[in-house]
Amino acid sequence: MTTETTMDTKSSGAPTSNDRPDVATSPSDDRRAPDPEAAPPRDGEIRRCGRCDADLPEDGPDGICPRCLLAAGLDDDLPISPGRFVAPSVDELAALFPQFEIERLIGRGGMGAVYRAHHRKLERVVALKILPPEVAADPTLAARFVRVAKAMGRLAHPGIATIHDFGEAGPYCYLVLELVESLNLRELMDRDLSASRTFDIMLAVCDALDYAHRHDVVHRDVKPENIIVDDHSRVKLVDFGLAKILEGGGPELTATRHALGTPHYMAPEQLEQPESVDHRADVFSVGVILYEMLTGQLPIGRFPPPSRRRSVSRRVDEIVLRALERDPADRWGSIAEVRALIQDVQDQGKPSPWRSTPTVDPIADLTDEAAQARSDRIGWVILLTSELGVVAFFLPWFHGPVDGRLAARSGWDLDHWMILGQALPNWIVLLLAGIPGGLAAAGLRRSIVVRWWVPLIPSVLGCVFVFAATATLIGRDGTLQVGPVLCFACFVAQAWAASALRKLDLRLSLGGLWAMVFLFGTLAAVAAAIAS
Amino acid sequence: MDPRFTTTRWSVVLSAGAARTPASADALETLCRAYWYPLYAYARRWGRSPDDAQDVVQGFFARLLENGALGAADPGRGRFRSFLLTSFRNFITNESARASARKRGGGVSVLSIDAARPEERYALEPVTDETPDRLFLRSWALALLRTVLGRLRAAYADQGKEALFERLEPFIVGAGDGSYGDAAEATGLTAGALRVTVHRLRRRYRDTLREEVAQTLSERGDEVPEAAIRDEISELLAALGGRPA
Repeated sequence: MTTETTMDTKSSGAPTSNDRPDVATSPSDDRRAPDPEAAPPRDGEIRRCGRCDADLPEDGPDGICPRCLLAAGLDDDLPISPGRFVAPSVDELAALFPQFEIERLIGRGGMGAVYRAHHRKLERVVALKILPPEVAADPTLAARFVRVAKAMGRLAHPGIATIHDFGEAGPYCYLVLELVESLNLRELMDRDLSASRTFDIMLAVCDALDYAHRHDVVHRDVKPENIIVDDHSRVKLVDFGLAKILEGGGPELTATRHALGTPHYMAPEQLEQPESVDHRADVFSVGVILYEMLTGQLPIGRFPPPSRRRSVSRRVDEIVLRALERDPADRWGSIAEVRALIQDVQDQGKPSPWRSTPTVDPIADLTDEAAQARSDRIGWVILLTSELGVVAFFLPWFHGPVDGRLAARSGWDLDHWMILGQALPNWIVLLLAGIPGGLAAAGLRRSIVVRWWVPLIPSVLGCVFVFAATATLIGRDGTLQVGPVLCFACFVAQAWAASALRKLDLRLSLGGLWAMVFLFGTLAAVAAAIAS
Repeated sequence: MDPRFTTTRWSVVLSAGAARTPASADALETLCRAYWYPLYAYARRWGRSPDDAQDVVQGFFARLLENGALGAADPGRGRFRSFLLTSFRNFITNESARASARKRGGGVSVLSIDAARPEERYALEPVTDETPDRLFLRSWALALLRTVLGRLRAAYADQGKEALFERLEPFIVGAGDGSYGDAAEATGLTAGALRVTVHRLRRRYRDTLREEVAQTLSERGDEVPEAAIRDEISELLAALGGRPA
């Protein structure tokens, strides 16, 4: 390949001054065959490219759509060595694999081609992976293929696509694999992923990789295309270790693979010293993917840390940057370590009442739903307990005998204070306390995002009023001193419950509700005192 | 394709720095020759008259090629394109430089721009509200593609296959299967042979494109990584606008 395309850069790329560089090909003297798919040019009409639908510039090179030309330079699917590996046709394979009904080609890449196939006897749909014929042709590679396939066979993990069989058929080495039909991470990344979902997916990827590493298998080609994700953030890694087969398979094959593959996700040592690659190469790839998932960009050149591009914790920066260290010795020592750190961030990222931006998408996915339901349950238990605590605390005054002497002495005492309590049956108080929480939980949870200080106002006010109201009573009768303490404890519990309920909303204002109860109670007491 | 582009033209120019060598001068001139038009278009879009734009481009190159003027080039930047635009921008906004451009450019033609009739080409530029920077990028992409196709054509011509190249050139971007039949007839190849030939052409095209892109990039003492090449191509692709391919 090298010899065919490498030309003398000086002479071929440098036209002499009298052959009018570039400009020589103006459309007027363009007698070349027109782009077969472009609309025929008509005067005064803008030509469009038949493929990408972009306007064809009048000064475009040789009348070919420049966009398509540039895009062709990025086309990794372009078979680089047509003489050697063009994905075989379904018919050709059908002859080689009588046990399968080959349905169609479903994927193609640097590592071969994948077909959807139906196993006639097992009546199971599988993925049939065909490797380039060089593998079968070269005894070293063929032996490596067998080793890799056997190593894959030892891996039994829900996050790793299972291998059912492998062997040689005709000129090809092949693998029969579990068929995973879902979006791959590349396709998923085209949608906006929440940070939380990103971490969930990467945690699952780390689980699978960690399992493989513990079985001495390095993936070597972890990239979004090789990570299949289902709706529940469950992942399946495919192409485990296959990269190893082609590594060191002669300069041509390696170059082919590198040209075909996506070197962005490969650790530097994979290109430089493939023989020294260990599990830390996968750590690097995980770093690249995590960065890309969070920022939408690849960590190329001088790239800013993730937290500069997205509101994630600084600790994520550390995870990513250290995973991306050039020297494997400087990276995280194991995937398990990375996993633990991501888990930490994920746990920390669970909402606190003091965060104004929700860490989870308003349109939560199923996994978030499950976590939500769990924290909701905890939250509600604590919320109701604290509400009941408050009510229980006042119950004796609602029903108990009013101290006659206190009542007789001034308008400030308990019977006035309890006017409200007596007027409102307990269940109404309870209901009032529950309504805002219920409303919030039912509908407002996903739509209301409150600045962190907003719920503080009613809570603080509530505490102030509770203290003010009870302090009035302390001078008269020392027995009420526990009141403020208990009330305050209840408010704290409510605030905590609200945070457990994950979003800032009306629930934190339950403190405000109680504040209102006390405010009106106090006002009523004052009014009664004045009236008397 | 050899993915390692260790000594690209731009890296040769950069590594020579102020101490110019014949090789670096040659490399710089080659680069300038391929990419002068984007600068012309840039100057025109800034409202320069055709003559003025030619003068200022000539003056700029005169200065660049004569004394290097590469002291300001930051090797870390790695892109000839950025370097060229930034220096040119500085050059035309700097009044004294502009005066010297007139002085130099008026007499000396460093590149044979006049023969190339840049204004005819500029007249073809779409009349839009495209900014000078965007037009520069777009022109750059087109200049790059011209160089690449020119090189390919020359390589095929060397083997006496220019006619074949002319016929198959449109297939570089992947023509539909239907048109293979006509092309096979026209070239006298069997369908299978044609397919192989087209594959080979596409591969050569892609490799040449990547190599040409790499020529304008430089990594400090390192080979230009594949990723940088892809980035550059993607950026130019974005500059061409339109719907994503």
